[in-house]
Amino acid sequence: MTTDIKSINQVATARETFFLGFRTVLPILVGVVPFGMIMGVVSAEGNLTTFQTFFRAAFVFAGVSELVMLDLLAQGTTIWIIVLSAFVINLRQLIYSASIGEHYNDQPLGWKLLLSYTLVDQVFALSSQYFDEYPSSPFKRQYHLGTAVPIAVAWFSAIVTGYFLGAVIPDNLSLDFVVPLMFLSLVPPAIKGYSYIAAALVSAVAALLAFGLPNNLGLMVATFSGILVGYLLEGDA
Amino acid sequence: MKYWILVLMIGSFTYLKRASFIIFLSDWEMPKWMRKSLRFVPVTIFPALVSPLIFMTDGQIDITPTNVKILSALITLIVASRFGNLLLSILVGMMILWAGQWVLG
Repeated sequence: MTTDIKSINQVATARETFFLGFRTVLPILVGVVPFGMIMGVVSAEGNLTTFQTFFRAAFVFAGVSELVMLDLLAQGTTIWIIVLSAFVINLRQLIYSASIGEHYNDQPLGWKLLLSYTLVDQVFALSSQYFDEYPSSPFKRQYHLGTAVPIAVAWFSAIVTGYFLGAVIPDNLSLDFVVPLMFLSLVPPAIKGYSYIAAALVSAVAALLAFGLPNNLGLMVATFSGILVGYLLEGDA
Repeated sequence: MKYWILVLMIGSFTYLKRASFIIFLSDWEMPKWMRKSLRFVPVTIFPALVSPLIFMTDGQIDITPTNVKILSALITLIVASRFGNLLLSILVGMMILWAGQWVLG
């Protein structure tokens, strides 16, 4: 696989680099489609209109933030706690931007705007891999877009499908529990040692203890307790 | 109305985060303590978000065997750490939940 990419890149044109990204991202769509369908189902179950659902999907383009928003909105949480939660939960977008920014320094502003919009997890992961391997590639934005286009198409189509599916699924299946299960499934891959496990446990327990606080403030208290414990246990890494 | 305010605010903040270092701060280096703290965000915010949904029933802490959500969550965690497959772990978790609800009537 690696040798294949190398030999392609030595003679690559802009167009070929785009399709290199395109082909590399295809297997990853297997993970994007079910998540998008969940987003659609949850939106339909929350009695949102098609316009509300699709405008949000296109404008925010960050599944986890949107799910957190829908979940807290259904619990009647205050606006600023919802905005803060959605902001904090996807703080990694800041890390992605910081990490990939140097590669786009010489892009025109219009391209920078588009590259920023499409900087989702998978695009970041694949593009930085490619930039590590070819730091002086003249076709960085083509590779980035090559990975972003299939992701966007798959994501939006999955949301549409999920939305119309959600409207016909019976209500008594406890489908709302899909959301916590999905958040839980995202935890193990992010665990990188005992300090991470401790941080997760502290945060889960603190969330229960602080649940009574007004405005769902307990969510923030628990998150920051967990981060503090992880930070202190981690040492000077 | 609340929905639209949220969409506009969350969407704008999301875009600003993604654009931050590409457009505005291409020279700024993030302090070490901040970078280190950010690494713990995913493993703390998700447990904080879901633990009340799992360990509480109707606003009360409910850590009993009849709370099937606990078993469902545990199995989901195990499947997720073993196979790293999002769809599989959610499916298994939901099946445990349905089976539990069926057994308990």
